[in-house]
Amino acid sequence: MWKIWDFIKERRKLFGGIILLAWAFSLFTAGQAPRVSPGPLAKILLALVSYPGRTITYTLEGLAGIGRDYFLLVGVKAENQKLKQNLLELEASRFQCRETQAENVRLKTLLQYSLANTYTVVPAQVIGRNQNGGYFSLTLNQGQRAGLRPGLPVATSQGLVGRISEVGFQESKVILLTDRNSAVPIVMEKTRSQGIARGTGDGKLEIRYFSRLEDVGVGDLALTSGLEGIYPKGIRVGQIQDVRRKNFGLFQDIWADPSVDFSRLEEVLVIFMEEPK
Amino acid sequence: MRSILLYLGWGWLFIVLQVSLFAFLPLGEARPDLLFFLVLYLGIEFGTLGGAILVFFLGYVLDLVSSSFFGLNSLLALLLFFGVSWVSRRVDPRHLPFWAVALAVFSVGEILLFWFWPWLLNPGAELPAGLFSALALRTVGNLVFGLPILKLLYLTDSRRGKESVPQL
Repeated sequence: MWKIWDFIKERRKLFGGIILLAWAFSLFTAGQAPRVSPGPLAKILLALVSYPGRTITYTLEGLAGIGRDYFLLVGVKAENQKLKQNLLELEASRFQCRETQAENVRLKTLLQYSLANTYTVVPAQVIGRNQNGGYFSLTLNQGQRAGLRPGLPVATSQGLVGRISEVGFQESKVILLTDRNSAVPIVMEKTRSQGIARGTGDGKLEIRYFSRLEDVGVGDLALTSGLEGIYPKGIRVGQIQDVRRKNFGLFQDIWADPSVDFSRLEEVLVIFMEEPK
Repeated sequence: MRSILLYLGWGWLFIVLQVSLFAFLPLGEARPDLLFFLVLYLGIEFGTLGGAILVFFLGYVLDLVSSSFFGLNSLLALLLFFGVSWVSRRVDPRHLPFWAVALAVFSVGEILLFWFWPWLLNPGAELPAGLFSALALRTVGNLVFGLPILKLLYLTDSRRGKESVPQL
């Protein structure tokens, strides 16, 4: 008996190894069977590993989450800026479309204007307004390249605007009717009596050289007479606003409002007087 | 006894890191098996029954924690331990090349055992796809991570400098 024990003791590593291997193999083969709930020792071992493991996992997940959120936020921020930029561009585009539509309507109205059917005209956009004391002028976006030259009349469907005073390559200056240096030969629509409409420098027109005997009333229309060949005949110049008939002198004192609202002008027609269609 | 406790601590740390930190690393099949390094070291250093019990215990804990095939880690750890222990008795283990070769050979052996055991138990099943790329990646991962870890285990060995401990 002791001999057997000594034999085992001498080869304890071998026998221990065989027992361990057998145990491991039995665990392994049992591992394929349905799992049973671990015993108390296994639960303690599990807790000893799983709690610190869980702490590390949560920490890493938290850090990874922070990283992910950070990069996500960076992405969202960039996307937000891009979308804002797109929105601004779309707004600008929408505004441009609306402007183009309105411009289209105005240009159509201009082209339907009878003058456009009678004379060669060049449409031009108002790109500047100048007011210096009683002197009013506009800047147009057409000049020498479009064939414009000083003296050409400028009008809209509403009526006469003025005449071109200076011409550049791509732009030109228009002296308005209401400018102090402006004088337009007119004829009254109703009575056909003639006079001169001069700018007063305060946005109105003074009708000069109207006989005291002529019958002129508030609201009458003044048209271009066509004399001197500067302006085409029959363009509306203004509407009589005030008439003062004195008991002495040859002429009446008459004031008129221009037919055109200069403050809202955007497009005009430059008329080539000597080139009728 | 002190050494056993030390390697128990290392084993615990490796298992914890194995199931938490290393699960996060985007290494795929190249993810090293930390417990395998300890088994390798113990196989060389503790080619004794005490070492075998320790290895079996650590494999069992890993089975408890992470394995979906209960008992596989205990069995493989024990087989590797005996294999390394047997080789190290026949080859001089006191050189770095031995450690590198042992790492490569036994990591291939480990993964083959891992992949083939289920197949041996169920011979009708097909071998998993990507076996050989997995083998290569795991071997590379074990070599990259294994040598520094083995060196660390050696540096913390309380019996360093003694005759029985390999000099790296």
